Amino acid sequence: MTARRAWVIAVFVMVTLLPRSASAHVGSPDVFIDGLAGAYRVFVTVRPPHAVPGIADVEVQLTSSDVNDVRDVRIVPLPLTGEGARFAPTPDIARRSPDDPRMFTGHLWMMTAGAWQVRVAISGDRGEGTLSVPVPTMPQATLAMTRPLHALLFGFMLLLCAGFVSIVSAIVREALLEPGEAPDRSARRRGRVAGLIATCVVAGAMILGGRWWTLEATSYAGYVYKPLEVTPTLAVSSGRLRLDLRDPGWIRSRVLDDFIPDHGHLMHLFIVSPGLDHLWHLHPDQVATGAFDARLPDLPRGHYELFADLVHRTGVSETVTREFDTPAIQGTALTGDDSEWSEASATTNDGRIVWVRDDRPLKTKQLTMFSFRVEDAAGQPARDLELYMGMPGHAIFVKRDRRVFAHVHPAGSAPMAAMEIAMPSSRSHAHSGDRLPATVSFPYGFPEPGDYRIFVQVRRGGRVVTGAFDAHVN
Amino acid sequence: MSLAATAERSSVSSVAQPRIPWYLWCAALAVTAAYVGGYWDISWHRSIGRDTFWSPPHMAIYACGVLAGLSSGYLILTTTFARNAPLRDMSVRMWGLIGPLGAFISAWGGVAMLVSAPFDDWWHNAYGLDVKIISPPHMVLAAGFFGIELGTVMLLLAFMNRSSDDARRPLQKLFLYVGGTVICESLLLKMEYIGRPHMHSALFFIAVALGTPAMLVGIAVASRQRWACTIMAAVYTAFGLAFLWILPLVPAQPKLGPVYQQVTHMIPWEFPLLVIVPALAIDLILQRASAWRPLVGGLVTGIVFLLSLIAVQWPFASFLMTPLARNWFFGTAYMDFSTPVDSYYARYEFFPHEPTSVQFWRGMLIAAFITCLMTWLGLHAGRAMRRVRR
Repeated sequence: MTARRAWVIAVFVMVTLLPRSASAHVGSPDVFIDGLAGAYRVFVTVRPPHAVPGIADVEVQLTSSDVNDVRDVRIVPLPLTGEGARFAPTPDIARRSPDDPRMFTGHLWMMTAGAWQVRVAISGDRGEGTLSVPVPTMPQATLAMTRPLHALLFGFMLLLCAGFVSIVSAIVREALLEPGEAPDRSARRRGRVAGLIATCVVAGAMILGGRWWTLEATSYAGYVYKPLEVTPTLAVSSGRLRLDLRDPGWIRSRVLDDFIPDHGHLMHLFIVSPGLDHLWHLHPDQVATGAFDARLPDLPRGHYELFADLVHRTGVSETVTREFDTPAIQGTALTGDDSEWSEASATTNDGRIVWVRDDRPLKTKQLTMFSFRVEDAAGQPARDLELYMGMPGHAIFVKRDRRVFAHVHPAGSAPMAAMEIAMPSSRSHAHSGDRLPATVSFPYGFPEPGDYRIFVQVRRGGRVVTGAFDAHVN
Repeated sequence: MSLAATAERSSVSSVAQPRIPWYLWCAALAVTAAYVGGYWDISWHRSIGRDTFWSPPHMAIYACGVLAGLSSGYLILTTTFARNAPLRDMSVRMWGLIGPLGAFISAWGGVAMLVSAPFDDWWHNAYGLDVKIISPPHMVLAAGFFGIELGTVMLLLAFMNRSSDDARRPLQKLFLYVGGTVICESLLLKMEYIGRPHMHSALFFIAVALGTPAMLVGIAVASRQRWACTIMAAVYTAFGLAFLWILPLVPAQPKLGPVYQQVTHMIPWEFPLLVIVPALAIDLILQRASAWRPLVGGLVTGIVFLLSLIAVQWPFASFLMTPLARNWFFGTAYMDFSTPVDSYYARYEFFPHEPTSVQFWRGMLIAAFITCLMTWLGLHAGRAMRRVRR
């Protein structure tokens, strides 16, 4: 079989998916950061606006030890890159919560779609510090009108139309009459004719207005975020997976030749089985503009879904998704940073990962620190943890129905590449190669209720260890 | 003469006092608040960027609705329900209510303004916060403004047309002042298309021609004042210069990004258009054209309006692009914080709306046609407005 023929034969039918709201993640637009603003450790949550331009909600939470040291927290939005990133507008003073003195909140206007940052400046007894949080602003969808509002506006529209017709009719019927003079039959008839003409004018205005509204809505629909599309092509014989990206059209600044490495790789590819009992974390190479190629490990026959994380030079991060079917593939052994996990082979004798949590139920939209302790075979905190792609660990939050996917690091849910653009002089999120603590934490908040699986990956003694945990979110 | 007719005359004379009733002042104040609030709001967005429901310019806009509602509500309710209401015989009937025609039109404008608020709020949530003036909910608001302005014009007109010469003069002044604010509002609405970079394009002249000449000529003819167009254009120029020179004295800083220009004070709109010159030309024509047929009058007035506007605005636009105009007097150095440094506006260059001369001259022909159509409509409307009594 020729290589070409092998490629052709290997093309599988892909199950297309409706585009889902995504940025660096899927269905999880909020940004959660655990970072340092000077001497102060802060947890920042930014909820980007649903429509752009729109208002982002910002929450800045201090640690209990800093609560009395901080005088004020200022927040300001500005583009992540370009000319607009040079000049910041006047910052807002975030309001301290009367219920929780550690919590500061504010609202910021984000004016364009793309890569933005929220700069958090803290001043207090231990000096001043700044933390920049990259925030992708992606118009998610056009908000539908509620029934009561629809009824209200429709009622007012009828009132205004009827009022217009009556006024025109009154003008023609009575406006020119001398005081005290009653309109005669002829005047009343002229009034009725004028009313009829006014009705036609109103009808025409309504039709034209409706068309204009449709044009505006269509124009905005083009501005609503459309994820990159991907066509996976499997070469069964050689055990390779090629991913061809296609831009379905969104903002002009999005191109396919500007991807930058995010903790060492242009693409982080996650392949999961529908039951989330298999996970592969691979790093395909870019072989052409918008085309990536990965060597696959052994892959059982089945139906899978892929999630591929990419970061543009602008700092905008995207996750492309696709479902696909494959026969059994005889691949090659994993190398480098690639890793896999399956439920069947999850139990090992050299340790485990434990989710350190209390009994409080998990809630949506709430910043939560997900802490995991890595234990050795004796149940003691592991002492052989190493950096895995520059970080103590990686967490992947996937909803059981796969409507939500988020790739999170200890510094937060923003991609490292975007954080480096936002804070080029700071490497606070990175960690030195000294002995790592056995507990690794990830700041995240579930976007919607449901059942999730959390995959946690760390590197121990040169190999990647993965733990899987189930979470129910109220 | 019948007894009833005598009573009507008596009623008219009792109303036609030299003093201007409070509700006419109130209505005139409403249209002033609408224009000041609208201009201020645009300046607010150019300088500070972010606002709230309770921002001062918004309060001025709401004041328009309140004042218009107060005057029109008073007139309609008292005329409908009060015994021996002085305006009853000079009113129209609508939906069981009785009141001056202008009051009904103003009330309609107030309702339109009211409706635009939830519509605009939903629009922000559905399609994002405002980044442009011309949007459907803003047009509903603009319809409200124009309803209130037209209502005020009609209210004043009816009083003026019923008045004796002594009483007419102060009403005429107020009428022309309100007419001036109508011109202000009509040009403010089109500011996205009549700014400095557009002034050497046919699109600019088409934008100016839409509506404005009709309002100018219509109100001028209705007023019976020899220099009506000049007075209205002077009102527009005075407001524009006042804003241009006063607003920069107020400190302001942008509160949202992207920030491309350093802003330390309120940013006004540009030097007012030189419409006072074509307005003067129209006045001179109208003084001699009372016997002309509207078709001829409209054609001549329209062409003179356009040619005189081109004659003064074209070279003035070239001057505005020079460093000589970058001072407090002409104000071309003022740019809103979001003006990109490589934009035509920031580079003091004209935007090539019509890349070829054919496209340009076709556009100018369209502008000439629209201007003549507007002045023709204005002449007709003005003559009809002279006969309004209620």
